[in-house]
Amino acid sequence: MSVPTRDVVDGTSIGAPEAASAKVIKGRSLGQIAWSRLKRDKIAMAGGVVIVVLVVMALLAPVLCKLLGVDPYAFHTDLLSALSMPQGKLGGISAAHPLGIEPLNGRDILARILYGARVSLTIAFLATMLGLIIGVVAGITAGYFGGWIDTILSRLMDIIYAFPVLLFSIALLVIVSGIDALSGGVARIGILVFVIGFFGWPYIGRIIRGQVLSIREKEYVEAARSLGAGSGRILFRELLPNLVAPILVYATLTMPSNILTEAAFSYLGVGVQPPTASWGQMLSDAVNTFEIDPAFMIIPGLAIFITVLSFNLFGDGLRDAFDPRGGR
Amino acid sequence: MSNIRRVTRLGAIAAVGALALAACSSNTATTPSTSASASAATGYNAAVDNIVNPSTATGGTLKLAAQGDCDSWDPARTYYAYCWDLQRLFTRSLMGYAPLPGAKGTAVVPDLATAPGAASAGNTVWTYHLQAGLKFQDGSTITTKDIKYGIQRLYASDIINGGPSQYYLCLLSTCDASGAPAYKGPYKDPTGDLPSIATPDDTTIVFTLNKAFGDFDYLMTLPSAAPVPKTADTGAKYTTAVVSSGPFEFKSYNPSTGVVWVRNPNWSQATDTIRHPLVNEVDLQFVSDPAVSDKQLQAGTIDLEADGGVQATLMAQIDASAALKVNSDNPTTGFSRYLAVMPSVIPNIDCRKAIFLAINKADLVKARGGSYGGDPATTMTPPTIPGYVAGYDPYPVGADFTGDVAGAKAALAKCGQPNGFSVNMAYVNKGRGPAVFLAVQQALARVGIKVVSSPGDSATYYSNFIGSPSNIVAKKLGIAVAGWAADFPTGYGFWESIADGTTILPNGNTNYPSLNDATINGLLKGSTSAAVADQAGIFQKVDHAVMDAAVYLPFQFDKSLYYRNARLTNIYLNGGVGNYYDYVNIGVGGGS
Amino acid sequence: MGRYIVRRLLGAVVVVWVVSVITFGIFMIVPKITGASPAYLYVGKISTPAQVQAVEHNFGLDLPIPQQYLNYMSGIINGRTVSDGNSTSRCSAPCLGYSFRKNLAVTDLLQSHFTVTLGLAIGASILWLVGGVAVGILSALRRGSFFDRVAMIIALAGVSLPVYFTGLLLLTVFSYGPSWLRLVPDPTFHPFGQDPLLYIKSMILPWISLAFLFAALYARLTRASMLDTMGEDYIRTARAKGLSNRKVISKHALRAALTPIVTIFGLDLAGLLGGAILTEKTFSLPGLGALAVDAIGLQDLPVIMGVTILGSMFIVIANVVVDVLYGIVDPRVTYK
Repeated sequence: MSVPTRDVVDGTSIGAPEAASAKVIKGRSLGQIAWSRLKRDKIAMAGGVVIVVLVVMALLAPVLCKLLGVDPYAFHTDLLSALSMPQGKLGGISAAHPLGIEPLNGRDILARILYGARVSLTIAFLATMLGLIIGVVAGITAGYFGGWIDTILSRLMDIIYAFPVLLFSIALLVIVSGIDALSGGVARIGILVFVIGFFGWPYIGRIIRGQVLSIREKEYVEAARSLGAGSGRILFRELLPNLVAPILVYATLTMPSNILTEAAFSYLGVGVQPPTASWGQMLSDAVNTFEIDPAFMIIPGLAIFITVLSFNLFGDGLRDAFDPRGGR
Repeated sequence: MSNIRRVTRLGAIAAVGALALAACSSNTATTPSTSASASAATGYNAAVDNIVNPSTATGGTLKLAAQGDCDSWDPARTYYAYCWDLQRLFTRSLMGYAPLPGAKGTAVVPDLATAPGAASAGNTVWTYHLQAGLKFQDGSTITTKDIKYGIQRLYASDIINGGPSQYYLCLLSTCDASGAPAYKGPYKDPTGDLPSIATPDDTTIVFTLNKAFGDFDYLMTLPSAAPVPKTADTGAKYTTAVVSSGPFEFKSYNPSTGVVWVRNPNWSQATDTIRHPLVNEVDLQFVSDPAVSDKQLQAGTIDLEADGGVQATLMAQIDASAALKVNSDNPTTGFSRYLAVMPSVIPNIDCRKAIFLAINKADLVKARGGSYGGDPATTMTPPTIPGYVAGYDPYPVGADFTGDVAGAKAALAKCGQPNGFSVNMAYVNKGRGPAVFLAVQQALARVGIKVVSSPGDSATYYSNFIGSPSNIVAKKLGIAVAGWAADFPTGYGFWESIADGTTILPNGNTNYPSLNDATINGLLKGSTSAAVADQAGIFQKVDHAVMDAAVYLPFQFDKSLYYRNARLTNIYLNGGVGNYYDYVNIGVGGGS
Repeated sequence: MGRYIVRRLLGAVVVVWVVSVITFGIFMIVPKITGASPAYLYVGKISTPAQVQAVEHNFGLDLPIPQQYLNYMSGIINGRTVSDGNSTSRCSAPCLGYSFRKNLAVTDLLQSHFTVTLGLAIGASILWLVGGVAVGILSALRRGSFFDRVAMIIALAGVSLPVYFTGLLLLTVFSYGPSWLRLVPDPTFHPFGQDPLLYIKSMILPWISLAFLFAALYARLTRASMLDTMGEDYIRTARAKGLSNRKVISKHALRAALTPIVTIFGLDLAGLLGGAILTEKTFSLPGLGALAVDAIGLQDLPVIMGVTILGSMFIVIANVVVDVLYGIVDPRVTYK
């Protein structure tokens, strides 16, 4: 298929940020040029700062919770009404529970948001890495070797594109939970990483393949080859530096889409298992009561929104920095 | 009764004490619900043991909503509680439940039959006679052969399945060791017969049972004992072409959108003391999101939610508004929610008792939605079943039901694990399941018992996740969440499926902890030929013996909060149909 | 050109076929590993091994998996007679199987749910095309202006909002909010055939939720595409020739800039037609996505297969159509 394909499944763009069409600008100082441009882009830098803060918060979640005196798992049923709803204004916001408590069991929402950040960022990051590794390897292989290897890999990408990915992933997540070895907490995260990452690789794979195809024909590669350089050497010395830009941009723009996908899975009840905290799961729990306790729905929703927005801002800036032509 | 039902939440504050004991007398006279003697109560919980807005005004359409389609409309294949209630619209059986509110509705009265079954000494031979003038919707006469055929169908269990056929199969045909009956049903064995059911003439039917069965009249109330005309039987597709014997018949049925029933012209009021239909039409609309049907309920575009109570939002609104509260009821449903604590995984009884004492029932009730959703349970038998004794509490967990931590620690020491142990817990990964798991995990962590999550998929949870004793052992499921209500409101109906050690199955087992205790088995067997007056005493003993075994840890007697449209007349909750409203007798005050 | 289309269509058939093989394989094999035979769902409480076997036999679940697959495929081409062991039903071609849970042919189920999804997709896509493309063009023409900046920040926020969160927020405000804001007090779905006015009312919030996301995306895409085009040599040439700015834009730039938007629109629409799971779930719309998710919960394999195949068909066909149209609109593309 000759048209750049993007799967935006119902708001969950799976592994396919729009047009990460970073074109490589020649010159050794590409990274430096990009960085100096990025530094001037205040909005992108703001996104970057929020990302750093989020990552630090996620890493330090246990410490932060201890400092704040909140616990993501402890019940506070004494703070619930007879109807199991948080007592007090705005979902039970108080000094002890700065973002309020959950209905039914009274767990602290702030602590769960912090722990939820760990789950969300970990899964999205690992899935991005997985997609990246498969995509880069497949893209380089297809582009470099060409011929039947290229044909097979390209057809494979077509087929993955043709899957109704969200639906298929949900079904897969449901049926594998019946397999004992895959039902534990860590294994569940592994499956989520696999499902999200696996369906994302053709996108970067295609970009890499294109890059490799164009670079392969370049004179300096020909020259290196005629001088007797081995395939491996050519790949690493000549190709990889040129692929840094698209890979970086891809990774930054895939993170938010993977965060959304993980949240969507949890929202539909096929994500991580309780008592693990997850933003999507909190939103899904809030669906029953959002009319009487909107805070419980709005807080995790905002957490997802802010995180995804920061990555998008930063990723946009990064892309523009590498390729000023398409930028703002 | 089927565990599959809509999540009910809430908790009712008002007492429903009047519901305490089910009537055991099987010969209560029926009083037509339209009679002038009905009380004229109104207000919150009025329909729990009164008829609200008694009226004889006919006409109009009763509008019901449910989350989804019934498991089946084929009377032999349905097991959802509310679907059995809906069957009363179009299915008649030999016996039925009295059209009376609350516990009075648990009285079994003749429906198609002229009188309750005449039992032989020892309760093994039961004889019924049909009334005159009974007709199917096509005008043909209902005979005892149609009733026999309806039961014969149950034996084609590869096609006619899903219903409570386990009560009939081995009672009326000989079963081999694996539980397979000799008779294979009318499809595979068209020339064979089920000689245990004799129909000497069109109005007489004689059942000769393989063993004593004192509650046989109750079995004859179930939709699975309803008449099915052989000529109209389309096997699995009968669910789309049910032939009515009751006052309503199917006008249209769409599995995605709903059902419309209209009056059956061939049904005659003179033959029916149970049904006094007032409306011309009953509409059942499938609304997949119960929060949406709650809105429709408030707006008055539907009259009732047929399959369960209101959701958290409407519950809070009802709680806060006197105007809404007068149109709502909060009855007990007859469901006991419990944890099955598996002796196959935790063999030491003191280790199990530690779980019983460490549990926090107050948190569990909160996790299931709060006080409108039920009350903490102290014993298995729910208040609606004979044998229930208020206050019986062999494992007291404090006046506030939050647990007896010291007692649990003592039990742990006694079982040789003073620092606790680790146990896997099975629950349905949907609805209230995760919240219940978390509450158990929190409570048991207080004494060092580590509870590990083992979620099951809702489609197969009861059939082959916890319904398979070998799976329980293989996955080391020490604790499983479940709920149970009697298929018919007697002690035997409640206990047989969950405590009879002689009927443990390799799959689809309902005795999850595989309780197999000679004393309990003996008591259950003895009850089938015991006098009605002795039943409560026998089942009190069963309850105590089961609790002593420490395998069933009850934590809640369910309640539901229902909201009824103010326009409805002649409306009451019937204990015979699981304390749902008696749909067939509800009016809408006339009109078109 | 004709040969190209035929070749592409054949390729599309192959892709859909592979998708069907993979889906069928995974959903048949995994339950075998976990021992969760769908037959258990039908036998009810008592389930002796003999009964489970009998049910498996009736549904053809005891056949070897390749044989089951062949039967399935031949059903699509020739139709199929489905038997439950007693009565039989004719499921005419293209038969995508029979849902024993719902007692309906899968094709009938797909048909009734598809109309809901189609309505959702059409309504939302009109909103997002009009809104997103207009904002994108304006932003590009006034690059760097206040409007451009605000629009692009809103657009970026739009693509960062999960569609179900947007949906819940809209419901909170417009269905359950203060009474003067309650524009859609009854968000219950009403079929178009029943009452067109009520239908539109019940679809407004889903349309907006879904359209907001895509409008944001399209505004960004359109803007980028316009900027790209305006930088092209031929536009510069046109300008140099002295054509008015308006003429350059309407005659040359717009056409070239919107071509990739149209192609992406085709693919997005196709993706949605296979079921907008999150939107349908949030608003309880009985569409294909909701049907599929429910079927997954019930392990109703024929329905899962049906929706998956239909969904991949839409995607693949859209790809072919888009490629062909692309060539017609953009003369620079040649077909190999």
